[in-house]
Amino acid sequence: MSYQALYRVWRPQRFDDVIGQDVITTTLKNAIVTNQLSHAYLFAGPRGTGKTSAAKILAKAINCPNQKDGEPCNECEICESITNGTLNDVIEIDAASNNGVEEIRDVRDKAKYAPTQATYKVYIIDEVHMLSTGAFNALLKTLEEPPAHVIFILATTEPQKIPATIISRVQRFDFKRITANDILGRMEFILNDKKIDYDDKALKVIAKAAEGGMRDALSILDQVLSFGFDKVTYENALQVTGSVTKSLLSKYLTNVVNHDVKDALSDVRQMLESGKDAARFVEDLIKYCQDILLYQQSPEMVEESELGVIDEEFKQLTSIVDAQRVYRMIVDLNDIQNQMRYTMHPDVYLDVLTVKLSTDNQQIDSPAPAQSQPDFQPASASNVDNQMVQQLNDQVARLQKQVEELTKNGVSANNGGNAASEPARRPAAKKPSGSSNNARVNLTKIYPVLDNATRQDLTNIQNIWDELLSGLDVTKRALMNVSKPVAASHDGVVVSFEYPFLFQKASTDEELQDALGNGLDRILSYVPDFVFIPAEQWPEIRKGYIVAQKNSGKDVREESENSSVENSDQNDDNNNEKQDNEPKIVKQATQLFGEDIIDVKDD
Amino acid sequence: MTENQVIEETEKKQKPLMKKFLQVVNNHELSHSYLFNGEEGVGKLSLALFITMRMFCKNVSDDSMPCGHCDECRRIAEQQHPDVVIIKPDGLSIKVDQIRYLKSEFSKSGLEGNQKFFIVCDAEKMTTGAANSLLKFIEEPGANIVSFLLTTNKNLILPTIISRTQVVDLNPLNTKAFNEELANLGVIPSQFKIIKRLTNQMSTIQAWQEDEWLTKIISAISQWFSMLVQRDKTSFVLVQSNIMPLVSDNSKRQVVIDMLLSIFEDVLDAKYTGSKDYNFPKQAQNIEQLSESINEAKLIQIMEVILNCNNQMAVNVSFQNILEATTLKIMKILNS
Repeated sequence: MSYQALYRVWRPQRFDDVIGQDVITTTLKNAIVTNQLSHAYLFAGPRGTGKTSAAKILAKAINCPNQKDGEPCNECEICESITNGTLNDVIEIDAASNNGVEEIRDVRDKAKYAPTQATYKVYIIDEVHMLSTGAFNALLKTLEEPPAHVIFILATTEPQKIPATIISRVQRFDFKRITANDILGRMEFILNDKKIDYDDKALKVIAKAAEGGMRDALSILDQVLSFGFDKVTYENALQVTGSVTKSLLSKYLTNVVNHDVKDALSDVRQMLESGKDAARFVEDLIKYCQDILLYQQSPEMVEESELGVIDEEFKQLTSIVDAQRVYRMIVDLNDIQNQMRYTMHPDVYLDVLTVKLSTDNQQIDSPAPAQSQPDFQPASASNVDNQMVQQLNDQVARLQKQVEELTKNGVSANNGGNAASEPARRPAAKKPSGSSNNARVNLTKIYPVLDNATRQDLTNIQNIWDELLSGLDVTKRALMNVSKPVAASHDGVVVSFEYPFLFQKASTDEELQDALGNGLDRILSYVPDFVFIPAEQWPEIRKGYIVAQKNSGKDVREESENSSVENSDQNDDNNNEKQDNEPKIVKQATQLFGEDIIDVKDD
Repeated sequence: MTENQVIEETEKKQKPLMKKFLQVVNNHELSHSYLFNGEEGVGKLSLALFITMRMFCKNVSDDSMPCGHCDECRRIAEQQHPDVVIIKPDGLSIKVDQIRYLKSEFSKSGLEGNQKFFIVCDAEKMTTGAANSLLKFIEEPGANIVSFLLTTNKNLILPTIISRTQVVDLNPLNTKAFNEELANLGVIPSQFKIIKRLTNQMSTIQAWQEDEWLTKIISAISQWFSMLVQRDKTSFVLVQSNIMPLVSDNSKRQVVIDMLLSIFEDVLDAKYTGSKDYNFPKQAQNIEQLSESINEAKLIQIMEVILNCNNQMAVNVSFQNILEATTLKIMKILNS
C-alpha cells in the first residue's frame, strides 16, 4: 500500500470526529434519530471544513442498519463499502467535470430506480458550483420532489454561484472555518496517536497558516513530517509555511513605526532571500496589525487568539504606535496584497510597501514634502503624545509659512509647474495687464472685436470650430485642440487657449494663422482676424473692457446693445440698458444663466 | 532533455530539495500530490522528472540515485513514457478537455508497471473549469498515482487545489553558480545582476545573448533613464526610436517592464541602503543623482506607475502606448 496523506487517513468517519461544526453535526444527528430527513441538503463553506466528509458520514448514517444516536457503526458491510466508495447506491459525482445537462439527465433518469443494497440512494454532488446553468435547471424538478428513496447532498465552496431556485429547494448548512484552537487539538491528537514528537510552537504556526482549513493543516503537517525526519520542529514549520517568526515581524514593524526606512528595507530583503513567501508575509503583517489594534482595546482577546503567546516586543510596539497609523497601514497592506496576486516580482511590491509605510506620516502631513523631511526623520517613539503635538506644531508652522508665501507672491501652483518646464522663454514676457503670464496679449486688437461682437457670429464660429480644426494637419490640430473661440464679430475672432504655453506657440506661428484663415474662408467664405489669448486672462480682459466701456460713456452702451461676449458662466454682458428697469432678482438670474435662455414673464 | 541532463540539472539547481525528496522516497512517504512553486528556470520540471525517474528506475544506485541509463529513465527524460503523462498549456491555457483526458488516462492502471505519474506544467494557466475538474481527482487518486503541479505563481492557483497538495517552494538559484554559468555564455560581468533579476532560465539568456539583444536593450533603457534624470523630454521619443525596435515579441515586453522597475529599484537602494551593487552599474552616477534630488513620495509614485504597466499589458493596451504614457507620467511626477 502506498503512502496515504494524513488528511485521507484521518478523514472523519463519525459525526463526532468532525471538528468545529457542532451545530451542523448535532442537527444532522437529531434529524436522523427523529426521522426528519430532508430530501436535499446543501453543504457550503470554505475548503477543508468537512463538507464532503459530513456528506459521506450522512450517507452512512442513514443507510447503516446499526446506526446509534445518529452515528454510523463503521463496521457493517454497508458502512465499509461506503467508506471505500464501492457501494452502488451512494453516488459521488464530481460536478466540475460532469457539468453538462447530459450528465444531470443521466442522474435524473437513474434516480427513479430503487436502491439495490442500501435503504436510500444518496447522490453526493461535489463542487456543485461548477454545474452549467442548463444543468442546474435540469436538476430543479428532480431536486424539488425526488422519489422517496433518494437523497441529494450538494457540496460547494462557492454558494454564491448557486441559483436561488436551487437554494430554496434544499436545506442549507454553512460550514464555518475551524478555529486555530480546534485545529491544534486535532493535530495533537493525530501526532499522539502516531507517537511522533512535536514542538508546540510549530503546531501553532501550522494551525494559523491553515486559515481555518483542516485539510490545509494536515497537508502542511504531512510536509513538515516528511521533510523533517518524522519530527515536527518550529524551524521546519516556519520553512514549510513560509511564515516569518514573530520576532522578525516585531523588528520590521518597529523599524517601520520609527521611520527607519533603511533597516526596514534590509529586513525585507533578508526575509525574501531566506526564501520566505511575500504573500504570507503581508498576510502575517495584517494579522499582526490587527492584533495591535485588538490588544490596545482588550488584551485578553489577543491572548486567546494568539494561543497564549505574547512577547515583550509586541507589548512595547502596541504602546508606542497609535491606532490611526495602524488603520492606514492596514489599508496599504490590503492594497498591496491585492496587487501582488498577479505579479512574479513580489519583492518590488514589498520594497514599495516598506517605503510607503515607513514614510507614512510625512506623506499625510505635508502636501509639499520637499521642505518637510528633516523635521520628521528622528521621531524617537517613546512618547506618543509629545510626538503628535510636535508634529502638529510643525504642520501648523509650515502651513503658515505657505500662506505667507502665497500672499506675497500671488503665484498659483499651476503657473509654477509650467514655469519650471519652460524656464527659458518665460522671463522675456512682459506684463501689460498686471497678471503674471502675459506674453503678447494685444488689447488693441481685442477691443475692436469685442466692440462689434455679436452672439450670432460667436455661435457660427463655435459651430464650425470642430470642422475647422479637422481640416488642419496633425501638429497644428494638436496645438489648437485645447482652444476655443470666446468672442466673435464679423471681422475678428478671440480664441482662448487653455495653457499659456500653447498660446505662446500659436501666437508666434504665422503658418497656423494662415491655415486657420484658409479654413474659415473655405467654410464661411469670409476671413476674420484671429486674436489669441490665454484662457486664464480672459475674465480679466473682459472686465477691463467693460470698465473701459463705462468710462467712455453712453455711445459705447448703445453699441453694446447688439454685442455679445461669452465667459465661462455663459454670462452675457450686453444687457446694460435693460438692467436699469429690471428687478434685482431678474438681473441676478440673467447674470447667472445668460440672456439667451431666460424668458422674463410679468404676471 | 536527455536523461543525464535531467539528473545534472536537478543536482545543480535544487540539490537540497533533491536530497530531501530522495529521503522521502526512501521512507516511502511520497505523497500523492505536490505543487512546485518557483520562478522560471529554477528547475521545477527537472525536479519532477527526477523524482519520477527515481520511482521508475530499474537499477537504483546505492546512494538511491536513478541510474539514468535504463530505458525507463531514458523514456521519462525524453517525455515518452506511457505511464508518465505531462500536460502543457494548449495555447494560452490548460483546458478542461486536457484534464478530462488526464483523468481517463488515469482511470486505467499502468501500462507497464503499477504506478502512474502526471505532471502539469504552468498549472496557473488552467482554466477555472480545468482546475475544478482536477480537484476531485487529486484529492483521492487511485493507488500509486502521483501528481506534480508546476507553477510560477502559486497565488493564482485555486486555494482548494493548494489545500489538497503539498506545496514545495523552489528557491532561486545560487548566485555564484549562476554567475559562473553566465560567464560561460559570454555575458559581461556588469550584466550579471540584472540578468539574475530577470530570469533563471539559461536557454532564454542564451537566446538573448545571440544577437546581443541584451546589451542593446540595456543601453537603450540606460539612455532613456539618463534622459529622464535630466528631465529631458526626448526620453519620450526614445521609446519609439530606441526601445520599441528591440521589443519584437510578447515575452520581451515583460522583460522591458522588469528592467524599468529594476532601475528605479536601484534608485531606491541608493537612497536608503547606500549599497553600490546596482542592477545597472553603468548608470551609477545618474542613479545617485536622481536619488538625491527626489523624495520618497515621488519615487513611490513612479514605481507604482511602472507596476501598473503589468495591469495594462494584461488588458492588451498597445505596448508602445504603455511605455510612452509611463514616460510622460514619470516626467510629470519628476517635474511636479
